Amino acid sequence: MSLHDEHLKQALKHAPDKDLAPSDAARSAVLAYANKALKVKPVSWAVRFSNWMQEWFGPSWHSVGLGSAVATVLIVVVVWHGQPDDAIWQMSKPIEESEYKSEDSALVQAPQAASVESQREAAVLAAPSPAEMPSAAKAESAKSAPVSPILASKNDQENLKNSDLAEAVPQVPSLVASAPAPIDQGNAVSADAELTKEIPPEILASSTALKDNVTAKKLAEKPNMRGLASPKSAENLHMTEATLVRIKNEGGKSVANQDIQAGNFRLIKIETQKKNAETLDCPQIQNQSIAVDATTGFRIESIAICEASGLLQTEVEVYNQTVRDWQSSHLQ
Amino acid sequence: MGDISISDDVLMRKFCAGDGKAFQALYARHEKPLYRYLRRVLGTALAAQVDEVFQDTWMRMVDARDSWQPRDGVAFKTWLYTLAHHRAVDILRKGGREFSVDEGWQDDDSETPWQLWPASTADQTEQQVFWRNAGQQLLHCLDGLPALQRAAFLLHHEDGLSLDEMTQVLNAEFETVKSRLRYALSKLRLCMGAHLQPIFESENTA
Repeated sequence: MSLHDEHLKQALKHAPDKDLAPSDAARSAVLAYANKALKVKPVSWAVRFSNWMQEWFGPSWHSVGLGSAVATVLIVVVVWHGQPDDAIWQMSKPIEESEYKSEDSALVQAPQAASVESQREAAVLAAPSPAEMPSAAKAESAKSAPVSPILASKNDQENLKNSDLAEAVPQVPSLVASAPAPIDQGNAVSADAELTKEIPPEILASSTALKDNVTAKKLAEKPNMRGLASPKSAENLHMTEATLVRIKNEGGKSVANQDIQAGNFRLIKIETQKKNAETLDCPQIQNQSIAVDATTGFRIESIAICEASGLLQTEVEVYNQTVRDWQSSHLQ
Repeated sequence: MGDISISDDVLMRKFCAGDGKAFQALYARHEKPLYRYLRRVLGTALAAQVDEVFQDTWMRMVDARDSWQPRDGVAFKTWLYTLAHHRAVDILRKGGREFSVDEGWQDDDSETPWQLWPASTADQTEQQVFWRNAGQQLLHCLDGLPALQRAAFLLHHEDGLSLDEMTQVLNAEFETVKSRLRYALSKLRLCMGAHLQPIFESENTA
């Protein structure tokens, strides 16, 4: 039996309901609904792309492998764009290098500077503050401060032994011993040699080893973030002592602001040590302890000196407070 | 947009891409056939709900346009009639109509709405009058068919869907669709009886 009846089809075609149509209200509702849907819901680019592909390659474009080929290309493009471009690498590399360079140069230059500066700083460190000095002594201090105690006569050194200046000297032998001689200061060379004679051999040996290991240590111990606590390292000794000299000369607030601008966030703690009762020398520098300040998260660099002056302690406190204030106003 | 050379699928893709005129063209193309199909499937008893089902079908089509993907052998028309058919079945179930293919012939002598429709006032040839009367009787016969057999007959004879397409619309196996169509034809021929007798006689004479 056939499943198609032409007579019934013909009868259906002439049926009286052949012109039947929906009401105008239904027609309007449908058209309005479609228009509203198009306005409300914008078509995604994926649908547009799919439709475009189907228009060009037929309904089965995605099943003939073309779809996967296009998808592969898209993925490659996306992944490619996901990679940082060369410009970023080029930008980041010099920064990283410069960071190392600055730190390394600090390491390299610090001893050089220390040869002149550390001697000066050692003098300044423990020198009585101008306020504490008589006016006549101030003038003399201004003259003598830049002069290395090494350049001073033995008598002077004898005199200094009893002063604050001499108290600081034993804490700096590593600086002095590791520092290359200034090029244009012949006197300093001879003075260095002279001082070296006076430095106990064990300190000299340790300081030489320290110098050799400074760069390797620095690279190995490079902190993830500058300013946060890092493992104890010998160069911190140089840096902190140099900072103390700067604090003494320039004031705690000024040095703190400079450090903040340089991205060197830290707090400084002075640990006062007592003189040796017999020799009246300060004991050999103890290992510095580096802790982390719980409030700021910055490292605390401790340094031991003999009988720090009140002014120095005050300026160090000003330095720390400036760093804390900056941290609380910028990082919290 | 009234260009019949543009296929339904192309229009639908344009509509999916945000072309409102493509939808208008699709709607104009399928408005009357779909409405007629729904009216005939729902029958006289549920005629009042045809507008609602018709409107709802198009709205569902609009809402589901993003999920529409033309597949081999499944055209837009098939998809549209599938939406319409499912909606009609919902209404028929709510109306308590039976769907069994074994449902018997429900003939009665009551007057049907088809017979109340006014005949065209235009000049009509004898043949036109004959077919019009046959059509009117066919509508009456269709009203007596089970809904699924009625749907199978209408999809095949009125809307020109193939058996494969009907399996999609009716969501039934191929053999089931064939069976429903066979039952429908058998019952309709029996019902039409005398109305088509002159045709058979003339064919036999020829």
